[in-house]
Amino acid sequence: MFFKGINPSQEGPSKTPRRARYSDFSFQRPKPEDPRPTIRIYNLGCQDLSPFDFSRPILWRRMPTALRKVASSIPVFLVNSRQMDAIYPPSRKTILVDETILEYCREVAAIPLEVEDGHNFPQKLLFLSLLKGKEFSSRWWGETYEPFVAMGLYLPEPPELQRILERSPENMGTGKGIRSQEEAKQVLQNHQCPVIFLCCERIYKTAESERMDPNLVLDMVYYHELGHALLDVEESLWDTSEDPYKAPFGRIIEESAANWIAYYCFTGKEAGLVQRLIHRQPMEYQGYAAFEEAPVLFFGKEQVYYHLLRKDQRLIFLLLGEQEVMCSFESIFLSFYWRRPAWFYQSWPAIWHAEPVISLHELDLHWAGQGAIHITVPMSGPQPSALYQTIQHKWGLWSRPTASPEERAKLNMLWWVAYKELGAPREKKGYYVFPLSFLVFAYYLLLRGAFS
Amino acid sequence: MDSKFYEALPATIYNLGSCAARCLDFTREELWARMSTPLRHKAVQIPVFLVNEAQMDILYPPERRKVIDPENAKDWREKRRNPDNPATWQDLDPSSSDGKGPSPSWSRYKRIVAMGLYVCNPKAPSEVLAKAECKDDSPPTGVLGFSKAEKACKHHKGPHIYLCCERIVSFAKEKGIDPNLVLDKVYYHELGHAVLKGVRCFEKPEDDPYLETWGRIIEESAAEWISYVHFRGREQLLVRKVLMKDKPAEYRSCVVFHRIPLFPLPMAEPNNWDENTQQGIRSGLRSFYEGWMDQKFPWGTPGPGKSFYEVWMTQKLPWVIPSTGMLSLVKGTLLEDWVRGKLFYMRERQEWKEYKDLLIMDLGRWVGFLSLPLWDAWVARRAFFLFFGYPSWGAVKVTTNPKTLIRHRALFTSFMASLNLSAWRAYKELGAPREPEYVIPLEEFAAALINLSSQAYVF
Repeated sequence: MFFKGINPSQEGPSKTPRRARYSDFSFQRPKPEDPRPTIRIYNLGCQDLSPFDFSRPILWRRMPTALRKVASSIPVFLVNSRQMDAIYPPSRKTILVDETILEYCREVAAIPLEVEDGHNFPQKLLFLSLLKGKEFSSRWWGETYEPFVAMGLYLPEPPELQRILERSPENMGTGKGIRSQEEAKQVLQNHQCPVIFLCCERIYKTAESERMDPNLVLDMVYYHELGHALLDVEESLWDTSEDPYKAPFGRIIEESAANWIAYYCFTGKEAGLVQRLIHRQPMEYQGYAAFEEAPVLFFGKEQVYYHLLRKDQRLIFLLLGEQEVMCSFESIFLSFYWRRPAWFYQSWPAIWHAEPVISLHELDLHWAGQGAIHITVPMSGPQPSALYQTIQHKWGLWSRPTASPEERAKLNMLWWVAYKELGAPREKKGYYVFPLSFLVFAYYLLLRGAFS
Repeated sequence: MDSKFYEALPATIYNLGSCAARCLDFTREELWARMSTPLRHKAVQIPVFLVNEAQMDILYPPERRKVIDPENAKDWREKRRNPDNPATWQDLDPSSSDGKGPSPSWSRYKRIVAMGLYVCNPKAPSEVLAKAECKDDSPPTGVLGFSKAEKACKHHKGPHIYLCCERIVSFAKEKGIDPNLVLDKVYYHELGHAVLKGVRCFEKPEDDPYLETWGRIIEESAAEWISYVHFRGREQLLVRKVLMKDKPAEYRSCVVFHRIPLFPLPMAEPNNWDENTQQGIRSGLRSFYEGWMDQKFPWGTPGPGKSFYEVWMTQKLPWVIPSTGMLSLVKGTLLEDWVRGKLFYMRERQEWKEYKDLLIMDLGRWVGFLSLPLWDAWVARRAFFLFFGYPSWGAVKVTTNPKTLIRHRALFTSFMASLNLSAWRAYKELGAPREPEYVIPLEEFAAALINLSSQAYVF
């Protein structure tokens, strides 16, 4: 879909080309005349459905265009907490960003820009490699996060039906527009399509403890899962060795994107309540507001030449080992990346406005006094590529951004999906989408989510 | 279904003993809808305590009980120009010399300034709880009662926001406006302080630049600007004409916060400026800020006859500003060297290079201009583009359509403010170093805020 010119069998690690499940990523606010999506809801094991109303028009009226198509094609199954625990993949019941990492993040974020040059370099490099998934210990999420995370689940394929049925109760709740367990069985047996599970018990409990309307929490969880569905690719990477979700950086980007989608559907006080729910989730989920602020692919190859000769290469060999450096072309450029992206992203002034106005020229002026060389476009040497120029225009690096926030978020999502289409390669193979961009972007999301 | 679910608000709000809280409504949609995402993000994180006047007087830190009387600010600019005996910060803010006591005019401004308070490291003295009133009263919808407030006040670590409902309500009654509007304004202002806070609080209290007069001016005008821009239309007018009019000078200076630029920090390698250099840079900055609003562009520059500020606001050309014209603002001062060396050299060179390439690549189109000497041709090209738009980027066009001018105005208004805000925040994140290379540009920026706002006829 996105990389027609590339032969994946040669370039990418995956032999089989993947495709995005959905091609429409437009997040325009829906118009009143837009068609209503047909949402299919089946009750598999919820006893009490009285607090919830699935026939509210607001449930689908809030959905942007992109989500409506997804909502029409994916069935929703209501389950109880025992069923949810049974189908929830154990590898996903972890939090990757714990207090230690956060404290470390805090230290990194508090490092004055000027002293970043020398002695902090190894630390930061180590941190980036941690985000990449090496030496990273996963932790069981425990009781703190379970009520706020395990409320919904998106699965690319239906789970084993028996595991759900043996945990279903005797008498089940009914509601308007909710189909029965018999129909659910048929759907789960006959179709090999993606499915969404919502745990109504947990949603109700969370709403009760937070004193919120359960329907609001339900809508937020549903939109979040639809977001995961939108970002998935055919022949999913789900829980394979290639799944980027297993590495911290993948999880941060994926969950932040899904939360951006959920948050985007709400306005006003409801949006505030959704932000409050998100605030109770683990750190990986907090980058939602920053997701539209900065481009994933800002660091084009143009800049690499410029800084390549300026930094000491030896430290990389010390830290990563010779073999890895040799096989990973891109880690040679870490000497450039370790400093600039963090610095650039930290100083990104978009945080002040709902509608960010950015000009890197002005940032250059601002940084010139700090001894920075020109970082936006090289003064001499090759002209920036078309892709690079497009990014500059869309994100308004020279003047007002030509793209709206939803368009910018959409672009980041497209790049993320494109990366998955390529089989989520961990090493650069000669195309533009390379993992270090995502690594740095995840680092940015983490910092902005944790400290703003 | 139980209706208690619907009580939840995005922020956690406690009533710590305020009777007037029942006059305020936190469930209004517009209170939360006006906020931008980062501001609401802060609101979700920081608990709010509603207090009465006596409690607020205990909570308000003694070292923060300082205000600048607008009367002092009026002629301070003139006095400061006096070469023999220039006015100092003490003349503007007499209490800043002893450091401890409150300003002489604090009692006059207390009820306006101490309506809200943001504290980074809260300490809950027991006398605050003892002064609570209306404990058994049912709090307004969504607000948690005294027993929960007491617990949270003792155990919640991290920043707190205190709002004095009695003062908010009485002030609104006196001015004849809706108390909820005053509440929103004060709440956004305190959230603005939260947004401006860096990664961590200052460990040593004396590091906080808020204790300096210039630091207080920048911090308060920045927070006031953040709260001000969240209102639109009639409400914005009310906020400016009614709420901001009677405030001390540092709050009023927010009306020019988005109009003057703060210079990059530090301006040079720290601890490298001797006494003479410091004086030279100071006078350079002063003449820069004086000329920024008034001085006109000379002929041959992109905006002949317009002031720098006008050109900045009306043209969508960020790179026009560092042209030769700007140097005239700082001519004869040490800042001129700094400007040439640090900021503009690269850009000039870049443009010249581009133009040279253009001539070589595109001879036919520019053959008319080639009869001129090259340098003049460059100036002529700039004048030409001023009227006919720019070739390289479609979005950049000079227009005479007043509607578009207004849009550009809004664009650059928020843009310069965003640069100033991020620079101030970054300075605090550095630990607020006090070397002259940091402090001098900040001091002059604060002085310009006071000077230019004391002459603004917007209230």
